[in-house]
Amino acid sequence: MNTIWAIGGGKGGIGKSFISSSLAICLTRMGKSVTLIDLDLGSGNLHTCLGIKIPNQTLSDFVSGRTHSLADVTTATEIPGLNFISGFNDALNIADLNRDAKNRLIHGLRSLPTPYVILDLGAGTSENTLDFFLAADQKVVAVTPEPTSIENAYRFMKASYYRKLREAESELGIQSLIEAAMDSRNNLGIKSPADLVRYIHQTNPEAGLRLSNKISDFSIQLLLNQVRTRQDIELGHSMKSVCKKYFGIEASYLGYIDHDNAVWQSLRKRRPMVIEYPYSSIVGQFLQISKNLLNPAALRAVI
Amino acid sequence: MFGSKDGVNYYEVLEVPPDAVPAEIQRAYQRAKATYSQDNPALYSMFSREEARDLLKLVDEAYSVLGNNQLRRAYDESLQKNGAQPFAQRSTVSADHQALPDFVVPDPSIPGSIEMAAAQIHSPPPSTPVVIPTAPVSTPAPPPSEFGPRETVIVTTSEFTVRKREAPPTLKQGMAKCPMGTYPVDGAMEQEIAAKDEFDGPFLKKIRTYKQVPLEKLSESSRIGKTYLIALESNDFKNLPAPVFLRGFLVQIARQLGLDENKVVTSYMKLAKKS
Repeated sequence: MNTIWAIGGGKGGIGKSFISSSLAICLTRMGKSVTLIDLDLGSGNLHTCLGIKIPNQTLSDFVSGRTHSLADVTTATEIPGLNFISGFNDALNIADLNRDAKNRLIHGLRSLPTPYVILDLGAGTSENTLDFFLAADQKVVAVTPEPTSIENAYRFMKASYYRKLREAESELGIQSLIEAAMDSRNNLGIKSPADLVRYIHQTNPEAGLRLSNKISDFSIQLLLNQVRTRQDIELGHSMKSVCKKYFGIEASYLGYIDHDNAVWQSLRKRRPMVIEYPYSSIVGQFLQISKNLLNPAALRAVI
Repeated sequence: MFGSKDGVNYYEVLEVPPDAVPAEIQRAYQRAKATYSQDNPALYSMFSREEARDLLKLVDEAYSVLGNNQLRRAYDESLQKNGAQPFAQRSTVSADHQALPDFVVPDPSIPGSIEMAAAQIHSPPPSTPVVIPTAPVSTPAPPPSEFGPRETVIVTTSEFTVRKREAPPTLKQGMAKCPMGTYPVDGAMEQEIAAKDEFDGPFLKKIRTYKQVPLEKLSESSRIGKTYLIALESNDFKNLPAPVFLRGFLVQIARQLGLDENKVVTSYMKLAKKS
């Protein structure tokens, strides 16, 4: 079975596609083969980041049922080891993806032949985006050091966390509690998911334990993009701590990417940064982040 | 934010493992302090100002315990007693303690040492468990469970039990404690100290004699020269060092005598400035 990495983050324009394409190329540089999938359905432009044309076959062929295998819509790129699946290039939107097609797609991801699959998610917190995010083994949240991006990143995390809880609630019969908690003016003193889990532990220890088990695989990897100052770097540690205190989950700080004009210069040339400037500090940072993602246990050991 | 206060684990507050070394705790504290101060963008839309202030208070509280070796040891003991955190057993931290290896290398010249080391390796806890009865307390004993009598505490570290056996000196009736030792309580004097806002030299001296702390002992523990202490206690301002040092001295003295640092420093500094 392959390993799926998802790059999300809520806000648009924070470099999700740039990050996904760069991480994918870094992985190929380490000798791994990767399938990169543009799930920013409706407005995907991952192909531009990679500097390739939109392939003839796209995900819309798979979703509409014209083809039954993801292999048919996969395009091999010029970069050895890198396969690419383009998103919709027509008027279809991610919101139009029905449950059936989504499940088929998620199932299909697992049977892709490459050992690594990278999902470039779109902006926003639509249910489909959240489901792809939750289906991934490594859930990367990209954020830039601006209040708007931070706010949306938290919103994205909250939305996916509650979606995860919803999955658990029907099984555990704690639906009413979660609904009460999501109402911010509840009188149980529950202000955050961490409070909720603690409350359920107190009232119903058995359900609490099962709930903890259920959400234990919900861990988030923070990636800070467009870093300009030292303070920006520290922001990752702070956000990690806030996640821990708010959600009661372990988040890891994957690393940061510097702000660099070379990024948009390479984008203008429509040449991937990792190939255009292979010896730049940014590419070094991407390599380090790829290593951290390949071995998340090592990252968690570092304080 | 953290529910009931007794549910808070200081290690969780600072997000350090229970066996963290002091340097880790120091770093975690600095990071937490930076995170929950008012203008950090990472708090935006997650914690309100009040919540951040509460968290900051909690972080300070956690550090005031975990940052102090003695308090931390006592805290670990209380965690163990409550049985809430079995992992705390590993963290009876003191610098000398941590340097000890988990397993003792057997020395063939000592009879029985090999068997002991072997026993250590085969039993999951690193050293032989020592079962000690807890001090008799007034609370009713919990019913014995099937895992054996509950009123015994198993402590896995022999060094630890040595410390535990040194029962804390119980205070005699009518005695009180300050960082420098015990002294007989005088109600009127205690009230006078509590009511006092202005601390001058003679009054500090009065407190010191009341608390039965000799000048030599205070000088030794606060590392302030005797001549300075005498000058300070007799309001002899021209023989006192520069304000910045004087302030440090006052903090030390207030701490050693168990007084409110703030009150002592502000009032005395005001006095010194006037002269």
